[in-house]
Amino acid sequence: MLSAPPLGGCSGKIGDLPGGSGQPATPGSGSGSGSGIGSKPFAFTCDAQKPLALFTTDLRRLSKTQLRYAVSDLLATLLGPSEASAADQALAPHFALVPDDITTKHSAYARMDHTVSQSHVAAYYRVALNVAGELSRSNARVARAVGSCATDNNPRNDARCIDDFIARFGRLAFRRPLTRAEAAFFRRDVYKAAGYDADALRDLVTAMLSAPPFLYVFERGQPEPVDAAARVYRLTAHELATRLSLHFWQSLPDAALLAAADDGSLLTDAGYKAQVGRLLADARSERASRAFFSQWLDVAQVPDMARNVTRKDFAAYAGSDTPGPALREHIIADVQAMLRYYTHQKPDSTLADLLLSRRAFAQHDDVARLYGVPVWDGKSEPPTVADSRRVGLLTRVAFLVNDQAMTRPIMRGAFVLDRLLCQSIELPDMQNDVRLEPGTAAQGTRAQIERLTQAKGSICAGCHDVINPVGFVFEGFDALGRSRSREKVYDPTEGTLLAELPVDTRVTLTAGGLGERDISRPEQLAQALLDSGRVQACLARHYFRFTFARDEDATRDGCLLERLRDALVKGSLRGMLQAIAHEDAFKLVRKAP
Amino acid sequence: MTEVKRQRDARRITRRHFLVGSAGFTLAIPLLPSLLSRAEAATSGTQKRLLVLSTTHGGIYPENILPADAPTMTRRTMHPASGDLPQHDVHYGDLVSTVQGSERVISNTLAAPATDLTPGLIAKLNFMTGFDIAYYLGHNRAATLGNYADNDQAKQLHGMPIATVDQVIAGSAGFYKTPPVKRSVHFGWSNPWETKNGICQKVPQALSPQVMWSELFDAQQLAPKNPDRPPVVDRVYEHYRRLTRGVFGDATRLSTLDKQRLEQHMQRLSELERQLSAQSSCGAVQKPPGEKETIEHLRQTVDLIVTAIICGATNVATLGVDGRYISQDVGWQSWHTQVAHNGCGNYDIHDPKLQAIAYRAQKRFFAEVFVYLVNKLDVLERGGATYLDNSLVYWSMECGQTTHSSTSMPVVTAGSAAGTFETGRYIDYRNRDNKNIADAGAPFCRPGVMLSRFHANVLQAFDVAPSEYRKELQRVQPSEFAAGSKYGGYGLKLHRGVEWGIDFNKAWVDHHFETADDKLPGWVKGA
Repeated sequence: MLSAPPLGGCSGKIGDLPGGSGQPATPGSGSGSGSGIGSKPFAFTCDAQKPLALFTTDLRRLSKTQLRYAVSDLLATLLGPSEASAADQALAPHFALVPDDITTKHSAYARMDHTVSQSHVAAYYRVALNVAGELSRSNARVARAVGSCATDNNPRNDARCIDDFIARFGRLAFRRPLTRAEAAFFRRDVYKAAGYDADALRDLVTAMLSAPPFLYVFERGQPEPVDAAARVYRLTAHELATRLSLHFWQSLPDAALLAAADDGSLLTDAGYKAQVGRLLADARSERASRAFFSQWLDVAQVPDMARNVTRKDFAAYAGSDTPGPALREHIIADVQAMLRYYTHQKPDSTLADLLLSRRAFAQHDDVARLYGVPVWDGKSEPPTVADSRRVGLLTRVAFLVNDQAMTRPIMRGAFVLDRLLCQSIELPDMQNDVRLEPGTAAQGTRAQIERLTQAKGSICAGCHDVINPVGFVFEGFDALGRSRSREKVYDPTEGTLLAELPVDTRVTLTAGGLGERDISRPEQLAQALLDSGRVQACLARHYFRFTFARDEDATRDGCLLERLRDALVKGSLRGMLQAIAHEDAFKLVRKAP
Repeated sequence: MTEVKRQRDARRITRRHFLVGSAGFTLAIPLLPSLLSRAEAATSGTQKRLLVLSTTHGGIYPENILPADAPTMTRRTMHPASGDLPQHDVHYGDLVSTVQGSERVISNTLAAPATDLTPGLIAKLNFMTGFDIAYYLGHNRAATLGNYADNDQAKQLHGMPIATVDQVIAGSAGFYKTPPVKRSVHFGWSNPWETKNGICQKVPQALSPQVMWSELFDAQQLAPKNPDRPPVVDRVYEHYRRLTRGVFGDATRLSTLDKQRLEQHMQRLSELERQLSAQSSCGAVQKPPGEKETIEHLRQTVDLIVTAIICGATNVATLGVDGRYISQDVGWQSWHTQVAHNGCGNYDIHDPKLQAIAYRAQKRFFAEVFVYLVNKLDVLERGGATYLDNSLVYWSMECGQTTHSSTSMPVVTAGSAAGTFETGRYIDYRNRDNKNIADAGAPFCRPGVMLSRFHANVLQAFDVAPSEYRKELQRVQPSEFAAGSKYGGYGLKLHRGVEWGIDFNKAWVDHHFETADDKLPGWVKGA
């Protein structure tokens, strides 16, 4: 086996935001010197001479979420809300078989997964078959979806009835009018029957919902190129409608958007602006913003603490706040409620409002208790938290909890560096085993971690001198996210209280770009993030990835990124969400050979 | 009558008895005779099965996992001494065990209730060690299946995934002449990679026994109901075909990549159509109740896999288990940072209490999942052989003898793959005399043979010839595996040189890779 590498070299690296200007990128290293207090905030380098970066991508498929909403909205259009809701419920077990979109640390957004495996195809077929079954479950449903001509026992009007349904259903599902060849194929080769036939209808719906124009997003562009050499084209009106609805609603265009595509008004500046505003104002836009923020903040990592309630030390630590089976779900909902509030309920809210808020948004009792506030009803003014240290997004329980009877400041710090500052943290050399002893009466968590990872001259200190201080600022909150001024140390086996130790949150920040500064409270960290311009830049990068389902190129996408960052600095969160749809990159496609 | 025969006779039970799941709920209605005769008629020769189980971490020190040497161990030379490398012998002998209280113990990790781990069952197991990947992968998620690309420490390999052995076998015409309902099923994080059209992509795993049940036994719901109408999946396929040919519009507006994607989808539709007409030999199989991330959850999955095999619904399965299922002592996060690193890391600073937590977790898997599974399979199929006899079940861990190390990966096997392999042995492929890469962190470290050789032997046992599986390696390492190349095995050819003051050239040399297609002595009959 392998001995530890020689001392003296930093075996890990923390990479800074690339492509910036106005402030040199300062990788975390050794002594962790920053760029100085009062430096000019980060800004992306924008070279307007560089050609717009449009990257060709594989033929994209609908994400699992988009598929679910597309089917729900189709049913709602065809059956009306009440029947559609019943049908939706019946389809839930079939959707459970659609493989989850894969997200990883480096590919954080479900939209970036384009895998189409055997399991995907089988599941899509199953869903399509069962949607067809739901649509045709009763005569009432058939009459509503297809028309009364299908159930009136009058065969003379059947042919026209079916043709009309094919055209109408196809337009909804494919997001554009069917071509004559497509309509003929579905009529002649799939439906086949002369008059109304239940089996034929089911086959038709199954085939259309299994077809490429439904499952995939085809973007061929308008006939004439914008730049022939670069193979860049403007999207057609219907392709643009699809891009807008998938991006903002995670679903199909509605009737109004399709109509704007049909009549061409979507391709005018005024028409486009009106539709973008309408889409964002619609409640359906919460689907996409919830998905974006949840994936940006990786809420899926919130642990299930209910698993550990049988452990004596954890049970003692939790006390009367013993985690129940629903706590994890409620913790995630709390974060989502906060983001919804600052994006949709208070649409003028800024990133600063989010990071410096004194409000709590817990809508379940188990989470509200952790904040020490009453349950919020989701509509009225959210309650204010009494503890003045509880400020902003970073002090949400979701980002503080873990399933141990001790905090994890390293992970808390790494989260901020990774998700709010986009500072890549390379995995440490795994040969460096250090012994982290369980709680003792002599040392608290911070002291142990400093001793083990920040010893002067050690190879661990290179990164941990940067990571740890960010995490130590939150030591005023325990591993259940509760406020504390003392750290309680429990025996890991017996659960007996061994000691109560003072909590120390004083740190010197050295994370790249924040400027070296002494702080002791989370709102000071939040302010440092805002002052640096880097949290805005990081959020812009993430929103770019979510929108375009690819990683950004800080050089070629610099101008777009800078505009998004600037929108966040000067405007609202919602403004940033909207701004991207007005970028040229959103309306163009580069065709692959 | 020997103990082994007596126990085998005790297992001469009906398939109906077999199909009772854990906690006693009935999984399946007895066989439909008409279907059974068709299913049997369709099978000529013995059907082999492959089941692969993987657990995260590992890092169980030799003192806690290696069996004792048998009183008589055979020693065979695999390679003579050469340069700094001493002669490399394989050592093998009977797999010995003792009864301690109510348990039968092979080692601290390989122990189970004596009523489950019987001498008759041990006679069908092997414990093997000495399988190495000559590279530093750190954490990884599919090395036990032959794919090294999904790892945490060797980023340069991330773009070089290859299909895992289960997928190679499941996709091989040599293995499946008439594929069943599902070519393969997967549960957990084992992350097999499927190659179609040269595009290697992940095969989604069932994340619950209920999902696996739906894929295996509910597919008939998708079959066409009206015999007077053509199968609609056939019409769906036709739509894709016409689209790629421009019937619905200008096909030149589809890029080459677009067409590839659509053709890949068409392949999958063909496979779906085949699945819809394939049938299992069982009647209705009951959907298992729900459980969450517990050993019971795993046992339900095992029940389903075994049912699927008995019912002819599949013959390849993988089960990947992460720490959440087996780390009952401490929470998962702490298990990783404390137990895995401080209990299974550098030997000279490890905490024995944490090492004990680690091996007890793996022991739990061995006793409650692995032994449970193999006992379930060890019922008569035909001709005096059991399903287990006709299968190869193997269990390995993410890491070898220490956390993050891919040296001396342990492999526990069960079954002989219809007589291909010897069983009842402890087989040690480590070069016990080569101490060149031992140090304070792993004083017991001895290089062995390539893990890729183990996987090559598995593939060959399942009728996949080297010429077939090399194509996959040629795709990602065209130089190393060019036609006529001397290198073999199934796995990337990787070699580390001098790192951290250790010269790994004194551990593995070219002959390790050149012999990687050769049959493993002591394991493969006749080798």
